[in-house]
Amino acid sequence: MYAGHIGIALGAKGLRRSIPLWALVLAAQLPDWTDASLCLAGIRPSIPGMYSHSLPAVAGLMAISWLLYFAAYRDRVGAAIVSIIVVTHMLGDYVTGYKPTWPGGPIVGLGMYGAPAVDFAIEALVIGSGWMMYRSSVTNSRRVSLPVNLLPAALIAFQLAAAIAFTISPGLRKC
Amino acid sequence: MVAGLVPGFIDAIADRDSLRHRLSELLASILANDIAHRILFNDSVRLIVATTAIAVVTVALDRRARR
Repeated sequence: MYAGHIGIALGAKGLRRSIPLWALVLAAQLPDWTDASLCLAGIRPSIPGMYSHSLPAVAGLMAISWLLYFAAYRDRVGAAIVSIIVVTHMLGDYVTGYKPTWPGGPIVGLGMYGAPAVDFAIEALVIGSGWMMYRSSVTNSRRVSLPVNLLPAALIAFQLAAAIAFTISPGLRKC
Repeated sequence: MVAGLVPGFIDAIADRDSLRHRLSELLASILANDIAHRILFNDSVRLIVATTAIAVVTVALDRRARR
């Protein structure tokens, strides 16, 4: 999942508007950014995603995000939502790809990247749902404003580009 | 090696052929560098760039929506 993660962050903003959107977006992308950073540092697990997308890795990222958000904002509920958003990344990726569970455990997932049109439909649905929830976080007069309406358009355009990339290059490797 | 090319660049500005040569030397030295190579030819970097870009756009639109 790519843009769908940010769609989930938008939905969480609708649940609790006091959480800065950048914190939710950061949490939503944290496993991917961790994975890419480790890759750049030359740390490559034998099973891709084991240090960033597996259950123990996500539990660690969840704890870190909870602690950092709580330290910054002293908001337990907000910290819980931010850390849950980290978990949603893993769950979303189980739908769209294949991810490791734990060291020695199975690699699971529905592998929708193999069917880019289906993947696109799922991500668009997640983005649309997240955006509907997000709209409740802005004032009534702003709900029909251009920036609010551009949000799902930008995310869906990004996801469409990703779907095209997967169609052209199905074997794209992250690391 | 890259730092050593800087004085040569200053001299080469007046000479287009020499500048072209210096630029190709600089590019070769960057590509020979392991870290630079890892950054330029890595799908992870493309992933970071793409997802950061869409994240920045999202946050910017949210800010504009709240003005």
